[in-house]
Amino acid sequence: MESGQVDEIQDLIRGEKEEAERSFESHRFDARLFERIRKTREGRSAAWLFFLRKPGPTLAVSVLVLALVGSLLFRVFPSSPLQQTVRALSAVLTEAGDGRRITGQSHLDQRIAGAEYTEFGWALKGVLYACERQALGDVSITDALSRVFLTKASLAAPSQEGENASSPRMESPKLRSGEDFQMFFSGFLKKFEEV
Amino acid sequence: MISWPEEHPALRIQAGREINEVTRAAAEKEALFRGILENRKTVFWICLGYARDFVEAEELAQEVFFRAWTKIDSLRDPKRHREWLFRVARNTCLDQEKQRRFRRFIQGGSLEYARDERTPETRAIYRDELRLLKDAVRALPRKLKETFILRGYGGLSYREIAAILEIKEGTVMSRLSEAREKIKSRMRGRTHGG
Repeated sequence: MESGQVDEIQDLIRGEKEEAERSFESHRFDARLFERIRKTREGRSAAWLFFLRKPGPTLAVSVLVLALVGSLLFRVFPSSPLQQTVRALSAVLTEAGDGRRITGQSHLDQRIAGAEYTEFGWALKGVLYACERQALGDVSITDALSRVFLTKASLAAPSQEGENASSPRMESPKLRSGEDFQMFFSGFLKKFEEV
Repeated sequence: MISWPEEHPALRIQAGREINEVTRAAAEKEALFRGILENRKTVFWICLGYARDFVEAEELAQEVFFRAWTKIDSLRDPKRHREWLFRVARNTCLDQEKQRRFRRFIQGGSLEYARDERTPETRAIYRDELRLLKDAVRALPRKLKETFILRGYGGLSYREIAAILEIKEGTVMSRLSEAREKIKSRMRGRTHGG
């Protein structure tokens, strides 16, 4: 190869490098590079928190944490057997509404007959007895409850009141409104706690 | 520059042996990287050989040093950091070239299309001859191209090139000669052919 040709190539490359060198600033180059490295370092250190930037995982983690904390608190501060029973009774009665719909609701029967309600069932019968002053025998709890409510809580429509005027149930004091029923219900629970 | 852990008063107070060792390792790494960074110009020249223009060359050089920083732990012999760095540079440029080829394939473009991507300012400074040279270098087979760029643009010695490419010095010389021959022949053909 002729040396002149090689020189020509070298000259071209030299010219290109001179042009390029005019635009190259070492300080700017270093600053850009270190900025990128710094960002990458920060990104790495916070990488484990990356999932928190997405709402789905954040919500899931929050629910999990709340459930764990709730469960822990429940274990650390367990409620007394009485409180548990009252809570269970409230749940059943709340579900049953005003008490007239208790009979025939098999799922309530199942809940009451469940192992955790065994003690509750006996206590409830005691309360019913205290209310009614009569033995309940082998009557199911739902039937017993229904009997109490039907005698105590006459929440029938006004048109039906006349028809029921001579009914033996009217011997018991009537509960004419939802408010009355609430009062009766509170009294019932209070009595239950006493028993 | 780097302040060594035992020279730093705050570190001397709280220093357990482990803290010192960790800090020393980080400081050594930083010092090594700063040493590597001294070669920024040479890396920039090598990248210029692969790139279309100096803007792209600078981006490539940034990528080279960033990769060097992330892979610095793989550098076994710090004394041979130049060789290691230029190997990183060569690999980065080859990767970039592959990506560019892939993009061109996807977009259905050509070399001319790629050249037209340059800014008017960059385009203006490119003389016709230089453009011919760039095209000729780009058209070289990979082995010839990398040897030519390391020598012609990077200005590396035959020994360094041989170490980087893991070939004999004699092979470097023969490849260079062949590369120049091909470049000249292509440039001459283009000039005469219009």
